[in-house]
Amino acid sequence: MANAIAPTPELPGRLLMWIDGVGGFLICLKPRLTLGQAGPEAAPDLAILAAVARHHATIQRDAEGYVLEAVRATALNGQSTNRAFLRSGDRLTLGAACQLLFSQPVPISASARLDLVSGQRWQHPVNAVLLMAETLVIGPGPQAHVVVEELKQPLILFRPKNGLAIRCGGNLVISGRPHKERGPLPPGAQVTADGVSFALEDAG
Amino acid sequence: MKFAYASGQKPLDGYVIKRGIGRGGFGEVYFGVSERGKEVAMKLIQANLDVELRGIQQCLNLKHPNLVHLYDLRTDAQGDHWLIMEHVAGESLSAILARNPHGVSPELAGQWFQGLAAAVHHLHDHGIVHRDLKPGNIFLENGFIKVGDYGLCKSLGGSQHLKQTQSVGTVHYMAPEVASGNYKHHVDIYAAGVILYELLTGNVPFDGESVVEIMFKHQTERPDLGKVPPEFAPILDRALSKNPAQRFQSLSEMSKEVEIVVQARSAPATQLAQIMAPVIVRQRFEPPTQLFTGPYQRLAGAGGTLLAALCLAAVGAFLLGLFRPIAPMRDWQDFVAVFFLTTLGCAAVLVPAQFWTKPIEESWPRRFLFMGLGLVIGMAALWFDGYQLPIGADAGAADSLQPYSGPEQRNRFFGMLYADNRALPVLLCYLSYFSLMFLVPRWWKLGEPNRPKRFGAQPVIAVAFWAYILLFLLPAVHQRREAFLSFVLISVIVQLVSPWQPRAQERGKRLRLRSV
Repeated sequence: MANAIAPTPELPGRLLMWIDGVGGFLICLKPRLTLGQAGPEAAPDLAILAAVARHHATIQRDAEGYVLEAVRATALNGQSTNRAFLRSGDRLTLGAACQLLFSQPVPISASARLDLVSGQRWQHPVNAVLLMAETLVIGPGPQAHVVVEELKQPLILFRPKNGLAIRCGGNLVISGRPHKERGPLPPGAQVTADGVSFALEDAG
Repeated sequence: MKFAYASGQKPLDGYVIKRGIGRGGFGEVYFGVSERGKEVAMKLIQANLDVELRGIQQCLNLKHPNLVHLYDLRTDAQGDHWLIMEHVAGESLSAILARNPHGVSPELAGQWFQGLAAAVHHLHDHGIVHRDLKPGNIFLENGFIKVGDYGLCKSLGGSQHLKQTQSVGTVHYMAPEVASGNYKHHVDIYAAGVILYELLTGNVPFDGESVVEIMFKHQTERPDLGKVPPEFAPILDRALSKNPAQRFQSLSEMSKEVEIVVQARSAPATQLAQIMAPVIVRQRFEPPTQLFTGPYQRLAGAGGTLLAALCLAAVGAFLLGLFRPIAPMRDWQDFVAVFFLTTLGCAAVLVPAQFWTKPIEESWPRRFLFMGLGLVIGMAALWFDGYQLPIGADAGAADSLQPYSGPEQRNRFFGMLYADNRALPVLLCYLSYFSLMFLVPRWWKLGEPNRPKRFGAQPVIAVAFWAYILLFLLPAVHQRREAFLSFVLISVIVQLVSPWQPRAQERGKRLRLRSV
């Protein structure tokens, strides 16, 4: 059910998560995402600074998993493709020289992570793009969408009705207010939990 | 990690802080973005001394592809200073080293070192000493080295800064003279040497549990250069000298030597000797002379030394023949006999020496090998002297062996100790003499590359002693003379001809505390 929820006014389609001492991540909540080159007109959801088309491909998440639909020349694990199911570890090549690594590092979560591995960068200054299904795990890893070695226990971001929230083992502080074990995450929230601090920013 | 400023704050006009990156020696570093989207790193400098800020100002307009680019130095409304600089999207060398506990490949280490050296040399060229070089300040972005955090330690009050920031993590790269406060750009060369050592081995050369312990080791201990690939050892030995005047005087000089070494590694082994030759001239620590590693190449190396031994044997035999009172030689046959025996003996000692690399004081396997070789040489000597060898159809007819016929000269020296020995069969005489002469002295030590002296008189005297004492085994005077002279010549020639390198640890492991 969480897959079908469209972004509400409270929850933008994309969020930027800035984790102190770790990096930045683009969290995408929409089930259908366009992939392509950033441009002056309407930008794709996942914008890359690379020699690819404005709308090069689409990634769709449904009940069965992720599907890649090619609009321009796209290869999956070296084989040219128009439409294919994505599995963890797959490499997508857009055009001639732009490669992404698709992974689903947490077995019980349908959420996925996209890393640019060919040297280019995302439009936003982020380490990776997180395609959030129902949960996102920030943990000491390796079974985490974001690996933070200092954590003793994982932090879980999840999606209750029309919103985003966090669950953790101990106490948290969200935007200055203490919470015990769980709390809401509106855009603009500043969170400290278990020695890790991060902020969420609306990315539109 | 907790940072003073939060995401979204704008302590400076024109830049928004997005997140904290890390904490350095001088303050926190943030990732920020300008109004129009320019990404920067922003360092909050917790220093109030004008001296420190002037140090940064001197660096503000330096440009080099391997230096983290500085954009501006700004002051915020609260009077705090911010250094706005290039955001390097890559890992620090300390993170890479944490993932590679045994170091990286020498080729990669050499490549990264070139970038590091170019950056720091550029600083030195402009009169700036970095003073805080360490893997945490060096980044790898898209395969390029970027050195940061320079200019932040320009100090008159060097010791004052020391009190503020010294922790175990920062003194691993500190040159010994820094503690005295009187130092120049050589401290960066020392630090570069420590970093190169760490890249090659995965560990710093001097470690300990406290700042004091590590600093003491920098002052007094020599680094363990056995852990690095041997061709890098002379470079590290020089860069890590306690005395700044003995180090490389510039990083460009040091990086040229590193480049030579790295290029030589990719050259075929047979060209190694030629490529290494120009570098050897200036080194204090010589690379091992056993440059030939494969078995066929070792035999070839042995062949070369054998050729030299052959020539020296001929010369030696001739010279000894001139020395009439002790060893009058009757004719050319004596000369050839000595030459023949000497050559065989040298071969017997030199060829195994190519295969034995470990110096051993006592080794019964080696003694027995030599004894076996001695038996063979004894038979060769028998054959040469005109006796029939006890193999084939005439085996067992030892009594019928006819000695060499010719006038026997009474000789005082060789007839002195023992009368002519007619009791034992000739075969037994030869075999026992030669095999014992190869068993008793430690022949392998004459050919060791790291023997204490290239040529020592003691071994020659010892060999001469045994060669003389055992002469009772040989029946005829002329045989005794040939055998004795041959063994003396063998002991001389083997030492002259065997590869030799001076020992490296002459200075000893611990030095007295230097007051720099």
